[in-house]
Amino acid sequence: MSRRGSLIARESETMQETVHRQSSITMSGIKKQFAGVQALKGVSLELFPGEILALIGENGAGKSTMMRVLMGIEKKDAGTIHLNGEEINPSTPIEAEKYGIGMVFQEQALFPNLSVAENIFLGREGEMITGNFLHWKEMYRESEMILEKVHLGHINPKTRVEKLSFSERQMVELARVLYPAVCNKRKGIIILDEPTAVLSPGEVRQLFEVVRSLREYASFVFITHHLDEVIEYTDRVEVMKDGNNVGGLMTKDATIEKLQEMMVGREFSEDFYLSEDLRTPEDTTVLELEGICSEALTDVSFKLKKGEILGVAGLMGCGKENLAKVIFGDEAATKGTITAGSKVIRGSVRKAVDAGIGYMPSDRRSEGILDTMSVGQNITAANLDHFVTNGFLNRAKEKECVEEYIDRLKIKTYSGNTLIVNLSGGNQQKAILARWLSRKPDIIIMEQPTRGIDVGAKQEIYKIMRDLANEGVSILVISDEMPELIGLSNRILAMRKGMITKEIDCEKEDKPDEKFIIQYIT
Amino acid sequence: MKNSSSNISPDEERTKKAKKDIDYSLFVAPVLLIVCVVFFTIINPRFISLPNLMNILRQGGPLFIVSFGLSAVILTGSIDISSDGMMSLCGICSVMLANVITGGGGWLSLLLGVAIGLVFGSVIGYLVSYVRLPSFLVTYGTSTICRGIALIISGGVAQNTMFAAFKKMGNGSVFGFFPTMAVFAIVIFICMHILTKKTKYGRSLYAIGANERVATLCGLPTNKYKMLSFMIAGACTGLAGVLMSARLGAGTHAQGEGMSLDAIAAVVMGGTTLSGGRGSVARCITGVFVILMLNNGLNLMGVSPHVQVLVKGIVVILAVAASKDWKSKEIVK
Repeated sequence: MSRRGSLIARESETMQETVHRQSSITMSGIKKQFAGVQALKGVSLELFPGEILALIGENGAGKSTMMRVLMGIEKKDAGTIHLNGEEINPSTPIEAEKYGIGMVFQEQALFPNLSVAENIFLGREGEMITGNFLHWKEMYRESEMILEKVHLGHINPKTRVEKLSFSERQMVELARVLYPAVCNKRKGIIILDEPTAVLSPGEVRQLFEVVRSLREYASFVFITHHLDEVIEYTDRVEVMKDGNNVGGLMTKDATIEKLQEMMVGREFSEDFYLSEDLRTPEDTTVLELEGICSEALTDVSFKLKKGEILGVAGLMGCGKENLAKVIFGDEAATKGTITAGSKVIRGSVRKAVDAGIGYMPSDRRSEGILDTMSVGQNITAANLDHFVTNGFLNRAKEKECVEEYIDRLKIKTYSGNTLIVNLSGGNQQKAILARWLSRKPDIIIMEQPTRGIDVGAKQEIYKIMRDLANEGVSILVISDEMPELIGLSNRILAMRKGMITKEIDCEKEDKPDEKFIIQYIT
Repeated sequence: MKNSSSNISPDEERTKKAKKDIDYSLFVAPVLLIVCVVFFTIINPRFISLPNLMNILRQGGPLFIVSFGLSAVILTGSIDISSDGMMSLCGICSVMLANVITGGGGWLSLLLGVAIGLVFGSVIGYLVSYVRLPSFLVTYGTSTICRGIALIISGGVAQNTMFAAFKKMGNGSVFGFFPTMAVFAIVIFICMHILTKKTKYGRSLYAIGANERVATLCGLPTNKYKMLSFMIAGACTGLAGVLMSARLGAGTHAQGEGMSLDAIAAVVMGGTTLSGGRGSVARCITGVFVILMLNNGLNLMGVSPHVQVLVKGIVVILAVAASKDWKSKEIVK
């Protein structure tokens, strides 16, 4: 840990000791029902001044619902919320803001076409009006002040948000929700809903440096799936499961294993990634890249063997997503050759698909599912030719295939005719996987295969991947989750700035540790 | 049912939710249709008589055919408003040909009209799919070009024809009472229904409408299929234009006026969304009937044509409001 890091750690310890145990927000016995589902079954939560509380749990545990109740987005069916001992009942986010409660949403809620200052003051222009006109100077001055607080002092508040990097935008959002707390001189409550999902480790560190420096203005609820961040950056952890409290503990007493155990309520098998079943791939090459260059890639060459799981590690912007899209023909390569089997496939999705490649994109909603269509239609969308007899779709044959894959991948759905949007994220992911598996592919490119899905579904996906590899399918896994890559892969390619910096052997007996890989990607 | 063993409560809930997945927008057009029929029949019992119903079918044939073709475009999330001008051009050309060549029993004229529609449809399709111009403006421009050509070649004068075989396609009957026009509409419906529901092309239309990017990543030939949809819509418009001219015994540069928007209204009222991916060709039948019966019923009531235009506009807005999915938080522009 850097000197700065240890300093922060010491600070947090003293913080924990000096915090007086008079909570600022107390939510108790919160219940909420959605169309028959009891999403919250009487959940309680306390937040102390200046504290960073991690709220964790599997998807569907009720974390987000709980926070949406606090924000006044969802109306609670029962229970009470007290702010500094006084009962409050926010019914809209605007009302919640008056109590100093703000939320940084998972998906960014800024307007890219407006300036930083306009975004910060959007909906609050009332405070910045002289006569009937906006007081721009004051708005910019206040923006500079608040940007300073989130370590964005170098950014001009007149900059349009679209010009900022992703992590900078997140800081702007933080600045936006922080502003009322700072200018009203009362402590705020800021909810961070999975803010780190798309940040690189360095950016996560920066984010928490900022968050810690803001303790005097606000306390934080941090929702996340990344337990390592919980351990490293928070003061206290509250675990939820199936709409109930499981329990809370001080972060210094927590370990990742302990938290995982609490989240799922069962002991983790020692080998989450089924590394025991990792087999040495055959010696035939199924995919070969030679000197591939594109806008984002420089001279990328590697070979993928039959039945191999090849991981790609790298930070955001290193080009690993571009690599997937170039192989799949969705992005143009300017130089080099891609050979799948015996075919040269550069340049079109069609060619890649015909050469037996499947692609599971990381952005399920915009690149994965066909949202107005059924589970079955989603599964067969890439394989329609297979069901055409005499020019017409053979529905019976299609149905048979859909049922086979619903069964095989254990997709939880009422039937193949259910709309895919009614499925949980993990099951949608499985349906997209089924889409490619039904083509009996030789190669599958999987981008962030377990992003945003719960622990149980994760393991099922790992199992499927392992089985596929052992049946001779080659898998290229691109992931931000280092343990996942290490656990699953035969080999890992480390990428930095569009280049492959190191090929790391990752066989069963010889798994590298994270630190070893990180030196090649940062 | 699958996985009954692993049924836990959230999944049961999903199951229930899935069962409740009824699309209420489906019922709007039928209900409106029934209301129209009952209302007009009470006012004037002649409304429900066989001759009047057949008359509605005869007058409405072109709107049916245009709507069926248009459905293929709207399902992909694009729009086609080229029918106004294109129908006029195709009608005029077919009439002019019928006046020169009387061989082939009028079928040659019909083919010419369809071919012209197909050519313009291909141009639109190419510009939208490959050049990536917005379909709204491309089809508007095409409509205007077609009307321009129609004005030029006809000199702005209605082109009459005395060619009986040609006229019979528009106002003839089979079995003595059933309009030929309706037979054309039924044939087109069956073709379009099969095409959209039972072929790879049809399934791809829904996929493109749902999310074109995903459809492309599935390896579907999205551009080709989008172009094909515009070609189909063009051919249908061509056919509709010819049949309308045949019924009138004349081709005019204004005969297609209002057709595009009537067809769009009919398709949307039937429950096909303009954003694409949802709906069907069959659904627009009821939508077309609502518009036709409204026209016909108001006529029978003796309502002035000027007021009719007003009433039709109000009904269209009400119908669209009723068929909207109020629970959906989708942003509408």
